[in-house]
Amino acid sequence: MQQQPPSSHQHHHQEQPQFLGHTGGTGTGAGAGTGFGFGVGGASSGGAGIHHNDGGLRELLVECAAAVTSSDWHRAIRCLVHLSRAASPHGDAVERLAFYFSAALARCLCSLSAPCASEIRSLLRLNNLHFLLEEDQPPPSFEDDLFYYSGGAEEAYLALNQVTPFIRFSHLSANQAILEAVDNERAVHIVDLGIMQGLQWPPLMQALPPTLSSSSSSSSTTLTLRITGTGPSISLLEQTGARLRDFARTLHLDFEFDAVCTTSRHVVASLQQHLELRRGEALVVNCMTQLHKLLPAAHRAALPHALEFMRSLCPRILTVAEKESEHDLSQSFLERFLVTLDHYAAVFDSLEATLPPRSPQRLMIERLVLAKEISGIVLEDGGGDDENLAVVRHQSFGNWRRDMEAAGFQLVPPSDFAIAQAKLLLRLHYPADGYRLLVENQHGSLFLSWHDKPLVALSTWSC
Amino acid sequence: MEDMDMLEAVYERKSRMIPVGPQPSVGGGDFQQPMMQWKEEEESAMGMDELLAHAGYNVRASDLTHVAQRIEELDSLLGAAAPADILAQDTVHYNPSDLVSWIEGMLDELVPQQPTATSSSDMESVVTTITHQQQQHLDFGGIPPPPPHQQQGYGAAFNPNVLYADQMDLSKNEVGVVASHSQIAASTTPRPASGSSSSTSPHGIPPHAAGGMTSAAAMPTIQESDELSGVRLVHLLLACANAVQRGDLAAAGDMVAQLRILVAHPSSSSSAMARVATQFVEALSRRIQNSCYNGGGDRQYHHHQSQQQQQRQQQFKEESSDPGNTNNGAMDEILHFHFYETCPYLKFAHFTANQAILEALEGHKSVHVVDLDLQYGLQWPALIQALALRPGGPPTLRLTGIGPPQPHRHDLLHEIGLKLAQLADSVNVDFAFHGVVAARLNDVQPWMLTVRRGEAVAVNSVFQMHKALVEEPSDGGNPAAGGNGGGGRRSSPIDEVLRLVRNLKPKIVTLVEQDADHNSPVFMERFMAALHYYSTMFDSLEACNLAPGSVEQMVAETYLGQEIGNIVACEGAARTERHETLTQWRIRMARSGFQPLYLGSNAFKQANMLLTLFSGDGYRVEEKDGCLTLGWHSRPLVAASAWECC
Repeated sequence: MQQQPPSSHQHHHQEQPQFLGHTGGTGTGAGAGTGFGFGVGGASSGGAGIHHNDGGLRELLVECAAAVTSSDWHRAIRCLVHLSRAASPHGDAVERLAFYFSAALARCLCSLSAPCASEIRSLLRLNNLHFLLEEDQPPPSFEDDLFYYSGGAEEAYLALNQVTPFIRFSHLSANQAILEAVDNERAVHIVDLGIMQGLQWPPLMQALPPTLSSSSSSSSTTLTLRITGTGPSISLLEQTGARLRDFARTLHLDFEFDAVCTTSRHVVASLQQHLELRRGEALVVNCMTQLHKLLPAAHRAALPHALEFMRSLCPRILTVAEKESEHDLSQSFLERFLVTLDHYAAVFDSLEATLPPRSPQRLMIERLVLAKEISGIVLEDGGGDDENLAVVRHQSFGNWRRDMEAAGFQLVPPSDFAIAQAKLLLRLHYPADGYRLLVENQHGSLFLSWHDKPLVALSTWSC
Repeated sequence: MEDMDMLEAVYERKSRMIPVGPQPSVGGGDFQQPMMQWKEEEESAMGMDELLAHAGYNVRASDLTHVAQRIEELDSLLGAAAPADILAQDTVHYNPSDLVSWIEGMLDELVPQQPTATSSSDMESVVTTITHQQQQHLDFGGIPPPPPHQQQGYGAAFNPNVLYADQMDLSKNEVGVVASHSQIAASTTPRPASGSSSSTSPHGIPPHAAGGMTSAAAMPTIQESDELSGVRLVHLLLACANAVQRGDLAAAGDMVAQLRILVAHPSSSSSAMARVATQFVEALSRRIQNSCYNGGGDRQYHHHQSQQQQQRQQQFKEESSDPGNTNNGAMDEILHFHFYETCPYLKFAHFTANQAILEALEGHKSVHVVDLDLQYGLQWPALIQALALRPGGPPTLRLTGIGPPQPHRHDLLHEIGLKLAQLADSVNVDFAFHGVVAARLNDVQPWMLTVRRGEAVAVNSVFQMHKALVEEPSDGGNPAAGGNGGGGRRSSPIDEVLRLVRNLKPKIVTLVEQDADHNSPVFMERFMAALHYYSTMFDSLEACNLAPGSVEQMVAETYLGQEIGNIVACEGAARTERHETLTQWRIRMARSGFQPLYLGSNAFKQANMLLTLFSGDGYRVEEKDGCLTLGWHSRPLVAASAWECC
């Protein structure tokens, strides 16, 4: 039990055993004991995934999650102590994963046992675990999408776009569906929820002219493209608008940009007020990882309303990209934790295959993007609006389909062209063999997966 | 003998009758260097591994300059070094059958002051004798660096390498890889330059920061350009194919012009996708030209035309559009040898087939191997040497090699037969070679193969059988072969070939094929399948120890580019690269009265051992129902199977 672990947190080790012996005197049973011994021994020689050769880290995380959910915070902290010996944000994929899940659990512990939060904090500090909380801003200070605009996070998002195919895959497959839906149209209006930097649109603009010039025999007719972008930061919206206008000018494309400043949770209300529709325009609604923001209990009731509103706009096509993961309301904390662990094990694994361990990009993506998502998913959803801004929930494609169809949408299966293109793009940017495109013929949706684990689902819908 | 359909060049020679001494017919005329590689020093019996190593026919380093020269030529043939505006003008109009002189004319236009090295025959004779250093001058003569004013104008803004090439004193003898690299970079610069001035593409922006993250503040368009060009490349490539399918040739031609600019962008040249795209773009371009000749769209060509017209067109296509015919035989030979040498696919095919043949013919005193496509005979030295080491003495070996007529050169089959006979003689194998010239496999008649009583026959087909999948015109419009068709209706060529093979009662039929579906009559399907297949193939080239941008890599890509050109640009009888999947072949073979012969674990081990000769980690040999596949990561690319008569 006293074996020295090959950990990057060497400086903690002196005090830990004494303190543990002091508080954890009641013991936590054989299960925890075996988990620890195993975990400490071989963690840093970690293997490919959290399932295999993870040196018991998975068991330890699950043990800790169980302790957190039963408010057994002494046991939870003991688990965290042991986890901290092997887990590291600079280690291999498994160690990094364990690190961020430890942090998520520590934060969850504080929020679940809110009355004792200060006691827990000091306990964590005594165990030199306070870094788990301080690595990032504490939960109340960040509003999910506002967060992305604080400097470093924007950079991290761009890095994620560049390094992993998840964002780009969604963008380009959505673009292809849009192109096919507005073929032969002269005026196209795209409503982009959460437009961010507008990375999705330059490729679409480039793809528009050849498609249209070939279908219309008279080359004098020009195409009008209008984008209404929503987002929580007016300055970013303005920057994005300017950048897109510049880009459109180089293509001699007749382009307009409108901004609607709103958070993604109030987007429908804002659009109802500010969205300008024009006669003769083919409307497209683009929802790239936006709809899930209506899944936490506080907003859930707004989801059908939001979908019905979009249905009422009669878009030619509605594009939806969401993480493929199921966080159902009926799930227990532990079930959700396991689902999330498996999901992010695949994500961290893919990053490990794509970037070297010392890559600052990788660190940035994990710390500023993935860690946020993980703690948001692990957090319990209390249903209150103010304290649970950080809560993140996803649902699987099957459930999205149910919701979309309930709102009157019909699935539009991807064309062969779209599938072939998505596969080529995967190859173009991500030579790592692990990224795969799965096409579910039965449902007509595209899934981007890491090996056999689907991570992102892209679907397109019409009225 | 000149008759186009079939003729039999028969020369059968016992090995002991081969005159020992200097080669009678080698070395003269346009005969190329690599044929001389045949190792003749191995007089004594050696260990198996050593022998196999010797069967590798390494190309001498001194030949590389020569190859480089030819690649330069080919590069210009394919238009890679030609300014886009010239190509754009001529895309539709020029006669593809006169490709060489067109290119040469273009070169003249570009460098009127340097008329050297535009005639290929001149170059050949020079190249073989000059030294490495002199070669540099010639290279720059062949593809001149752009005039200085061009470089200052825009070239420098696009390619950092150009600056390097510019600074380099071209008259100095800076020998070696570095020099030739920058030279290649220099030769490609005019294209993005002229393209950016004439098109609306957003590439007028400053050079991107290569790799790495630009800071968030500096993120606008500059950072996007690199990625965007990749995205645009893929989209345009598919959109162009789609336009071809629709018959919208004008739009497709526009897109080809844009694509040429994109693939020439320096940031693209490093990615395997851009390089494979280069081959597909040229293939699309050729298809568009062909379609223009047919009065637009090949749909017409398929249906609403009289038989005579159709035949005339097919003939035209066979002559003009098959890339194999626009290059001379020597070029093919160089490509073949280098592809054999640098990539594991051909060696895998040969060694796996040989292992199966050896096992199937075990114990037979008189064996006869029929090779449906002799090519350059690279497969057989290893088999001859293995037979020489057989316990109880070597058997009598007869080899029948089938090959196409050689319009540009004297009898290739004969030369290869001589070489093999000499080799067999040196290891004391009683050997006879028999060459059969046939333009198409289904032209071969049983009597040409002269199988004798008591012989154990093996039939070998490596990347050949798919050529017989060509659909014949339904009423047998081939007057030369008119005699047979007993019931008036001719069966399809592949059935004829398989029937012929079966009638030989072979102990084994070894079949190696690309494991791909490139035979869809729907152009777009075929295009997509080929794009995926060859992009995997090109990825795998990077693991073959081929330095990016090296001559070896270009050779391998050009070799594969010929197949791509055939799949994409040709239709009807001219489309011969009709690859089908292993599953399809299984069904076809079973239907034709063959049953699978399981390739043993020996073959598996050998194939895996072969892979260790190549550096790539990504290559994978897999055994599937007794067949072996060689693939790249999870994608099987080449499938080897063995069959016997039911």
